[in-house]
Amino acid sequence: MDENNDNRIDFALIERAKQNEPQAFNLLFVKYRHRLMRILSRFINDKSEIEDVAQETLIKAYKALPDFNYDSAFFSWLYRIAINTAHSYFRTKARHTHLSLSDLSVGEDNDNDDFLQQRLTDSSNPESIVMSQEIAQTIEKAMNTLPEKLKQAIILREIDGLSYEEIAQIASCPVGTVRSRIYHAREMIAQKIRPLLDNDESKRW
Amino acid sequence: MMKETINQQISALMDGELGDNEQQTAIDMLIDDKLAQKAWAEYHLIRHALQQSAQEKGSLSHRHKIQPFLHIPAANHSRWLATAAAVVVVFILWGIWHGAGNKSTANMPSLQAENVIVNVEHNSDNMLTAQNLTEIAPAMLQDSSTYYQQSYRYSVDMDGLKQVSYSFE
Repeated sequence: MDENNDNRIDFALIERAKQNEPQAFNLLFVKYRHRLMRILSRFINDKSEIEDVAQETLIKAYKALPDFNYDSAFFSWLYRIAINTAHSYFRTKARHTHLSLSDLSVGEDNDNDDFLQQRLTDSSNPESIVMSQEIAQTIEKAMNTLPEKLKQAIILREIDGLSYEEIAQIASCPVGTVRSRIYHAREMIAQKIRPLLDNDESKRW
Repeated sequence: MMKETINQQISALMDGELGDNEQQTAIDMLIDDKLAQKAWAEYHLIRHALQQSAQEKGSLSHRHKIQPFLHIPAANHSRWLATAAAVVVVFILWGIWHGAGNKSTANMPSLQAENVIVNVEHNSDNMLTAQNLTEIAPAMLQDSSTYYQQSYRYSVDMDGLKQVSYSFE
């Protein structure tokens, strides 16, 4: 995806989060958590330690959000926090230290504490942090069962990062058709992984 | 609004294919609507899985580029570790050198093992492994070059890395 487009959406969500809408930050976290966990898993072998570092990263990022000044991509900013957190985590060997939730607040709304507590609870299971092999395999299998036009569209979008306009030119079809194909491809794959995801939607999402 | 319409909006939103007004409406919906949030999470999970899979396939071919250069006897771990540490140091120096003036990775040259000069003394305490080498270096290349130095310190100094192992095949 074009980096400017990515920033445009991220910055819009950050703006909303700064306006005391913690759900907007949650959406950013959901967007990047798999990527963040994967990077951490390159450095840290132990799942519980990945979990600890990720939790602290989340808390620090949320706390520091008012200082985010839009001069870098959100993930670069988050990445820096994660690396620094990992570094200090191992330096101090403080495997079980967590910041006090009572110290944290983007605004003055105490609901934010509940939000953070919920996020920490959500990621308490290591299996929910690093994507399971089963999910990855299911997605790959689902890809192979997609109709060819849908498969082509989503590969060009997700792997090659092409815009709808570019895909439309390659596929010789209208942009609206590309939009529809990509959506249907995602939905067909999502249907396959839903049974593997947590049944308790209120907890996971 | 119908679920299909909502999810199609979310799909286009995450691709950055909505105009300003549409995007604003979609974000409002996303913040308020549980089903939209569910689609957002699922679609991003799928995106991550597809990109990870593609990346791993790329990483395999990348590993093939590096291994012939190393010429490591299967039993000679210490020598290999010294070489691996040296290679990572060169990656970092290369990254810092490039990172000083250019934060974009778009025009960075692909890694070429032939460019590596081994000039670092053997340090058997640095438990860098082939897995580290082939996984950390691409990660460093993908992310902003300003983080190379931090990544390096972490890679080499952190006790946590010692638990990562590599099996010679």
